[in-house]
Amino acid sequence: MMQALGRAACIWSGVWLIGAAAAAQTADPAKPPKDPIGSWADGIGLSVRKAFDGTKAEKSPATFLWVRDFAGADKEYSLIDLAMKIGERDLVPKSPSMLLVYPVGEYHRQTQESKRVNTAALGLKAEFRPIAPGIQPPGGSPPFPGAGTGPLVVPLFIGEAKIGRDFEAGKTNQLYSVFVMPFSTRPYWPGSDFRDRAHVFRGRYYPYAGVEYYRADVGTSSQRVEFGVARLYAEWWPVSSLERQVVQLTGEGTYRRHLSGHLFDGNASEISFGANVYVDGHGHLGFGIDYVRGEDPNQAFAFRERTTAGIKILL
Amino acid sequence: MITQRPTQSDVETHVTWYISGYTQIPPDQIRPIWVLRDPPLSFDDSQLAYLALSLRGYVQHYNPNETVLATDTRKNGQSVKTLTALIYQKVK
Repeated sequence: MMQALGRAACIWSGVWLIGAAAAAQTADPAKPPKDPIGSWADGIGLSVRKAFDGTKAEKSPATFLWVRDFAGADKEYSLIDLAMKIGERDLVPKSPSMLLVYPVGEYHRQTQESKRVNTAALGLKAEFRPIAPGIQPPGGSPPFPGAGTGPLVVPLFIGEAKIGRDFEAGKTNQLYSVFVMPFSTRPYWPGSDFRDRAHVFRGRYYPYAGVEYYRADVGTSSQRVEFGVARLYAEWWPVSSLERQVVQLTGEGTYRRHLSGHLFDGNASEISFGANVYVDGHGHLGFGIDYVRGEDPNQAFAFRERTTAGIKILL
Repeated sequence: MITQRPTQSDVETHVTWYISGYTQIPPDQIRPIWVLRDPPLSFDDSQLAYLALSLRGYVQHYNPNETVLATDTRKNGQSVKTLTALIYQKVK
């Protein structure tokens, strides 16, 4: 049954992807390319990602995977990583700072018999930008004296409170975290663009540092753990032209230094790499492969190593 | 501070100047039909929020009662041209 469903999904997806690619190819070059998927999501204030956990997953598309594992005991299984945010609010809309708050919901499912995952979470996230960065365009004059002035590097603070449920284990967990990320508009600095001589966008990177607090049910009691966290995310687009982005490579490393608590004893680390091919040329719809290795904070820091491939949707 | 309001042409030049500051693409090479999120501009969510904050300073220089939100720049399909029109509405 699972095999039949998986094959049907792949065939349907293939037809849909080919159709989307054809539609993108036939667009009138004199007009901005139409983006019906993005416009629909924008109309209802919806963003869809793999997760909203402050990691690479937040810049990665939601995934609906059908996995063929030739070496594993389970030859075929499915995997879903889906996160949505709706209704972003700016709490200080007229100040020189920006404080964004929004609810997020996540659902993760894996049907592999030996590693079954069935978790859901609801949370509230906040992004605080105290000041705009200084900008130095490579030409033109500022609109008025002092326009575009600001620090070379500015901080972005990201906070999150999340409560989750592991339906497989019948347990509840909580996460509270605060991160700071440097941001700049200067070439080669965090958050800025890497571009080639023809101004084709090639990539960017973001370093993060922060603290995380986890609490979860263990047996009949509740345990906690606190980590100091360092994280580096990078993306690279080796195959793209000035007006189309096709192949995206991503990488991320996270190191969690144990501070206190016994939910997990010791330090924890994670690395992940991804390769995505976007058939729409906008980075919304495509397919890709992901590799992840390390302790999974969504599964009580259980070690996992897996490679997956499937459809990618990013809105 | 009340300053002489810019014309639509001025706003187009100014918005392009801010976008150039984030992308490092020279202002004279930025085309109105380019969509902020799509190549070649390729803004991500963090950059779009900061662009909104920079444009907020620009708008409030001319019209302190107006503002620019992250949802204004993060809107799917938002192009240089449509953003310019939005900013002009806010400053005029």
